[in-house]
Amino acid sequence: MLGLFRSDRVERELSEELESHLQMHIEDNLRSGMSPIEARRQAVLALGGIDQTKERYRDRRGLPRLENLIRDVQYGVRRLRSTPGFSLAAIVMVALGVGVNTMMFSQLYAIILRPLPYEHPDRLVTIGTTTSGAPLGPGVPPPVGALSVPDYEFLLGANRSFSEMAVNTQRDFNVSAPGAEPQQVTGTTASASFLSIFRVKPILGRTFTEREEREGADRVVVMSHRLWRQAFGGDPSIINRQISLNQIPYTVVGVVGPESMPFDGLVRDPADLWLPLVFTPEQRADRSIRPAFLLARLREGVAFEQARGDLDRIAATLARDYPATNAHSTFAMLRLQDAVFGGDAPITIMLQGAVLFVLLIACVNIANLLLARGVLRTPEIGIRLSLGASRGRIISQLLTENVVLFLAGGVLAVGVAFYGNDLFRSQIPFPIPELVNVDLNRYVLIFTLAISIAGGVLSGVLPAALVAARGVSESLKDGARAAALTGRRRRLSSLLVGAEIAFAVVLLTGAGLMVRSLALLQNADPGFTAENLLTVQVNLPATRYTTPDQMRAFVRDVSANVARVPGAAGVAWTTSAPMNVGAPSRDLSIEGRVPDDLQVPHARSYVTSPEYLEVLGVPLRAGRWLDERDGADAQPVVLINETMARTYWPNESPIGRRIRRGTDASTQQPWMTIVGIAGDIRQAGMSLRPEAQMFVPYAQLPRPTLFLVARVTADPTNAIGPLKEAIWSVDPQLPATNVRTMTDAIELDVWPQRAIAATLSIFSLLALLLAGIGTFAVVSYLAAQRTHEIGIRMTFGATAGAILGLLCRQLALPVGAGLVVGTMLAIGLSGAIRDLLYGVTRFDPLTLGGVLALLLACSALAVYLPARRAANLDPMLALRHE
Amino acid sequence: MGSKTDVWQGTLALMILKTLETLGPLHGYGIARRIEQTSGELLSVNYGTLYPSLLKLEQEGYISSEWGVSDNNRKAKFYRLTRAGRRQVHKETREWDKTTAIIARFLAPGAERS
Repeated sequence: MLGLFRSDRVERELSEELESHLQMHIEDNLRSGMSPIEARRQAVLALGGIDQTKERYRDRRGLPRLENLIRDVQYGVRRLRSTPGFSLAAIVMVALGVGVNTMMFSQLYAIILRPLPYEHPDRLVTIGTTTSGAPLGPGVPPPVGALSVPDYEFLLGANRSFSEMAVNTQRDFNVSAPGAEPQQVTGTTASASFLSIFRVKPILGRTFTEREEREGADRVVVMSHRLWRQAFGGDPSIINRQISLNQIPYTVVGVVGPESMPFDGLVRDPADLWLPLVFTPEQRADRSIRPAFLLARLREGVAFEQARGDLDRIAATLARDYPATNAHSTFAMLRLQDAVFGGDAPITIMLQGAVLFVLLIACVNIANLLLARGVLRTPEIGIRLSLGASRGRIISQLLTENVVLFLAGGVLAVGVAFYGNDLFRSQIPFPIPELVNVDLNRYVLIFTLAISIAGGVLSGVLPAALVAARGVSESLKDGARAAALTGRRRRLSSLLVGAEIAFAVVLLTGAGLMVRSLALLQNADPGFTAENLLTVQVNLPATRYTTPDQMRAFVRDVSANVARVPGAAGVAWTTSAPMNVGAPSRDLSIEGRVPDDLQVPHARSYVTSPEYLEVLGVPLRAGRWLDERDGADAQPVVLINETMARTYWPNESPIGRRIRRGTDASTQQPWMTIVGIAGDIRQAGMSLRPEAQMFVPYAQLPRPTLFLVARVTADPTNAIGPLKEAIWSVDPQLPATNVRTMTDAIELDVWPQRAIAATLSIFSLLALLLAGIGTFAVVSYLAAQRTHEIGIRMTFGATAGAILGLLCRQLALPVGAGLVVGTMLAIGLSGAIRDLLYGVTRFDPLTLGGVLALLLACSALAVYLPARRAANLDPMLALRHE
Repeated sequence: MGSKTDVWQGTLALMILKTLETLGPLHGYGIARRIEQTSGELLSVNYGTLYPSLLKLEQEGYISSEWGVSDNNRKAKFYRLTRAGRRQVHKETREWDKTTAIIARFLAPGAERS
């Protein structure tokens, strides 16, 4: 650093030294009889130029780069201030380009890169089993099914790669305690190692232990500080008190603090209760039952791939020893990070890619502006070259100037990102934890700094090289006007216009496809009437609802209460309402058909009250609805949907046929007669294809997990209160959860598509704007450069139209090429959003055509406006233009 | 000037050191003139390359500099050989002798054959 701070003195001394050198030489020359002028000339020649010598000396002196850098930065700032118009336009462009990138990166960091807040999070993995041949849907992560208990126990002993292992399952619990409101809470039943694997430290009491993982000893529970505060007022005497979970008494042994709650803030419904997981003797014995979700911690020094090999070895052993259950099973291992966030990662990466295109367009614009300005600066650079600056120094100085500009833009970009994130958050309809946690932390700021510098170098390097490549004499001799017209520079400008148009095509195509998908999705027929429909979820606790009759009575009594609510037009029950996860899929036997092992008939089985489909507004296609005749003791019946009818009875009527659950001939399940066919409904989501569904009367198969579906005549939100009252007047201890209108549920379901469509639209409009401005600027510049020539042409009789054509033709090729290349690029890159598209393919002619037309119109306008101005010039003024 | 040989890069340092060893403290101009004179005016020093070389030698610790007054009463910077510089002269001289001897051996037989 000393070389840097001492630089002024060193510089002065060098000047003095060279001066004394010259004087001595001049004196010698005078003595040998030269004229004073000749004496000095010879002396300077022999020295090889004072400034060149100084430059060489500085390069030798050390730390020239750093010092040059500081000088270049100061120079860059001065230059930016000397041309405020250019600087402001460029900085705003950079701020937008870098800003959207910073915003997306802050989300990407929060979703993909942020390490999980646990000790050595990189060593945490989840392990599941996959059965080979299981179909993988598009974009669906590998199906990591749970493990059987014997497999888990074998794995515990046989593995060499893991220091800790834990099993857990997620369940809902109805919590009630004296003096606390009844509520439904998510709980995790787990091995004691689950809490230690996350290094959970209770703020009160203790966690449960391995000794409590036994039937009889397992009535202990650890609760979150959140539940403790909210339901028990943060009372420290909670420890050793009894609370009731699903009407079973448990002893509270500990409270977990906010900083060490497993999965808190990472998943949508984090657990608030942890209790020992005790497997039933049946689960312990049977390898075909797979209840255990496995978490593990890699042993120190064991690589991920090594552990995978270890698991493969164990799976092979199990497959050999237990071929009946394990022949086709392998273990699948995922980093916990990927398991938690894996689903959102592709979308986030896609959006980050989209904003990179925005930045590229901004860079191209800046490059074009620099090219135009490089022309003005040619004489200046010529002088600097002749004063001994090396070409490398000129390039690095021009680059530094540009990086200074990008850094100024980068500072503003942080503001853009902050505002953008705020705006984005305000649009989120429900708290998505990983998006709520987005912030502009230091990693994000480092990214901003990095892309600002990269953008500055990227956009500056070509123009700088082109300007510096000109010879000294050439730069000095030619005026700005002559220099401007070099073909190389003009070709580069055109190429850049083509590039930004191509980038804009890519973004607009992506946005267009998403907007089309969203529109189709919103107009899609869900198969039922969504308006004025309310759903409420209840879980009847097994302790109080022990017999089917109790459940039937609950359903009957609540239905009667709801019917009395003013404005209620219909009430029904189902095990899963639309826009919820579908009911489990059941393998079926069809009477009279030989079972085919390769294609087992299956359908999602819903248990519903008879009116359910009618209340939803689903049309009846054939046969009859379920009705009061189909009571508990009547002949078992079932209603199926169109898809199921078409799939399994393609050429005949299924009415009157009989099916039953299970494929085993010895099954005790009763045969059910198909009485009717209903229209298809979209069950698990608007974009999902209807599946085979069957509907079994509730009276014949009562279930504790229920959705109440109510149709009302007026605003459904007004009916929420009376609906809850209707439930509580039957069972005051029963939590009513998930209360929502069907239109809200559908809105929530299409929200990802809406968010992506909106985000991509904003980005692509930004891209369109930038590309339009860029093209406009280039044409204005080209036209201005040719003003003199245009004047001459006009004096010789060229019409305004001919001039217009001349200027437009110049841009026709790059614009055309940009459109073609962009379309090909867009089709290729749209693969990234293939899974998000609904009803359109990435070859959608309407979208591609629309994008091309839009861009063609915008670029035509961006070319035409400046060209027309040039064409309408007064020839005499144009001629005099210099 | 055309017939003169430009100073071979890399040998300039040795020439500077040898000059300072022979003549004692000297300023840049003096060094340059001395090199030209010693070479019998066969070498031309681009004086401009001299100063970076002097700086490099100073940075390497082989020479030191101080301001003084020249013969004709002009302020000038004088360079002086340090102890390390003196060792370096001997070392480089030996290496140079070795190199030239090797080169000579290469060239000599060829000359005989022709």
